[in-house]
Amino acid sequence: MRVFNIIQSSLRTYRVKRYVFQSQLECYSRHATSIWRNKWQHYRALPTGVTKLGSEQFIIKNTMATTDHLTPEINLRLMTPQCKLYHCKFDDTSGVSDPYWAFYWPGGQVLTRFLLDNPSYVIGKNILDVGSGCGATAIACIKLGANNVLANDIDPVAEKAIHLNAELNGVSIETSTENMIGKVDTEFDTIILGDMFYDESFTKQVTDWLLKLLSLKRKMIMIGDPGRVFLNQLPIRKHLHQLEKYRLTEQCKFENHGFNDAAVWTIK
Amino acid sequence: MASLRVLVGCKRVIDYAVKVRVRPDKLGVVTDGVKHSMNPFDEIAIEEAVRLKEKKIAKEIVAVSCGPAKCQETLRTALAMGADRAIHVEIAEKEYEGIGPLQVSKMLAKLAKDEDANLFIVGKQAIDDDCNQTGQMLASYLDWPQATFASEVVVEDGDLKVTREVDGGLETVKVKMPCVITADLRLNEPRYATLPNIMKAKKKPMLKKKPADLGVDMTPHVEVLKVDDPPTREAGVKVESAEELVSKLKDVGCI
Ligand SMILES: C[S@@+](CC[C@H](N)C(=O)[O-])C[C@H]1O[C@@H](n2cnc3c(N)ncnc32)[C@H](O)[C@@H]1O
Repeated sequence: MRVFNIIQSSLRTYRVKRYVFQSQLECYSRHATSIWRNKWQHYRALPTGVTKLGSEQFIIKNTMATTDHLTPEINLRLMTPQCKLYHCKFDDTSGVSDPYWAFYWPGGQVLTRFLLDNPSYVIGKNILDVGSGCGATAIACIKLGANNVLANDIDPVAEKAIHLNAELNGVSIETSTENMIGKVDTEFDTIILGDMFYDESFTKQVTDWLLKLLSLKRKMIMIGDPGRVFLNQLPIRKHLHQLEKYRLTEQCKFENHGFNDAAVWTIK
Repeated sequence: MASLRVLVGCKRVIDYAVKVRVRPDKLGVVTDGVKHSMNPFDEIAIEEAVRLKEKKIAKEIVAVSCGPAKCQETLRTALAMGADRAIHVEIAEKEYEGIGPLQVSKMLAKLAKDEDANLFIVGKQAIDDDCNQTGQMLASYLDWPQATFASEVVVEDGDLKVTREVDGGLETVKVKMPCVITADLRLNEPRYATLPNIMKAKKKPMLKKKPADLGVDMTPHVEVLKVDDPPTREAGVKVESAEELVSKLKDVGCI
């Protein structure tokens, strides 16, 4: 009986503690959720091939310029905790295309950091950034003096975000939304990918392509990744050579549970 | 170093903040249209596993839930908290009503073997049935050591040093892996999922299984005879003075 009481009372304390926390959170997120729904509905209601004005305004309204990441020399419009949509919940995002461009993922952060610290990988090179997202890595390459940079992302909203971020950093950038995965007749000598290995089947598709590219032509391939499990389960793992490893920022860890660091690899 | 595969049990229960109502037939509580969420002690279990992964002690976290289709929402939460993949053992609503820790622990034990787990963390009890049996039965079916009611877990020379919350104090034990740990309230404070974690969670793999795949007999062994509301408190009375209080207490035979 005594034990039972202790269990009951500890559970009660727990419930009360959680309740206070949860109700604060909910009060905030209920508000955020309804806003999110409206915005997304508005976003989805736009005619296909989203008008330039529509998605650009959406990005501007729902992101904030920030340098709270591993490459503060590049200013980026991202969805930060100060932005309302950051706090929406599960069901609110299902069914619409998720704003991957609104975050600077750990793999992209360390890859960009590495290139900024080692410009010889970039200067004079023809670089393809696959899955560019917010465009940070491609922007860094332009600033460092690459010969030619293409920021590629199949999401048309990401394409807009890349242009906005380039403008914010005083550069202009070439973009494309073509799906290049599987294409082997590419003139780029350097292919970079930040955080593209978060989905099991997609990881297989991308890594098979990279290995094929490698076997056909001498290409420099660099990837940034926090060590997501699929990379270690596929044939590519035998070809990965680590160039550098970095600790993630607190904010980045908060956005990527389970990871404290991320690394840059080349594929050989 | 990172070598452990950690399995974590996640039960979907009526949300802790919901006021529970007994069904008219008095054989259970009303669940239709009621908010559900992950059992709070299982959130603690997931959190502990994620911390082990962040410390590079665990290499992979697999969240497991046995129950109706909606358990997938619970598993998505676990994935957003940091689990790498999930296994859902789907059990039809009606069948699920009849089973308990016995059948669930058998299923978990089979999964632990199939997945080659080194560590299984579960909540010490679920806040719906308050059974406090699954972890213990699981350890027994696996023939693994167990450390229940854990409030601290540290790795020491390849073993786990676990502080347990016991009646009136703490007990520290050392267990060899593979083992089962049940999470107590003070083990940690679970994080909540942020949008980027939620986005990535949608891409994480969720494997579906059936109890038959695991060869577990689902025959109910316990029959619920009756579920009652707690007795309602009667209204109190106000007293004007200490004298009146004393006389009232005498009236009811308390002093
Ligand atoms: C996790 S984000 C990484 C963004 C950025 N590289 C970074 O690290 O911050 C993945 C991006 O890949 C894009 N993507 C997905 N499939 C693609 C494909 N087949 N070709 C190009 N981009 C793709 C998504 O739209 C998304 O923006």
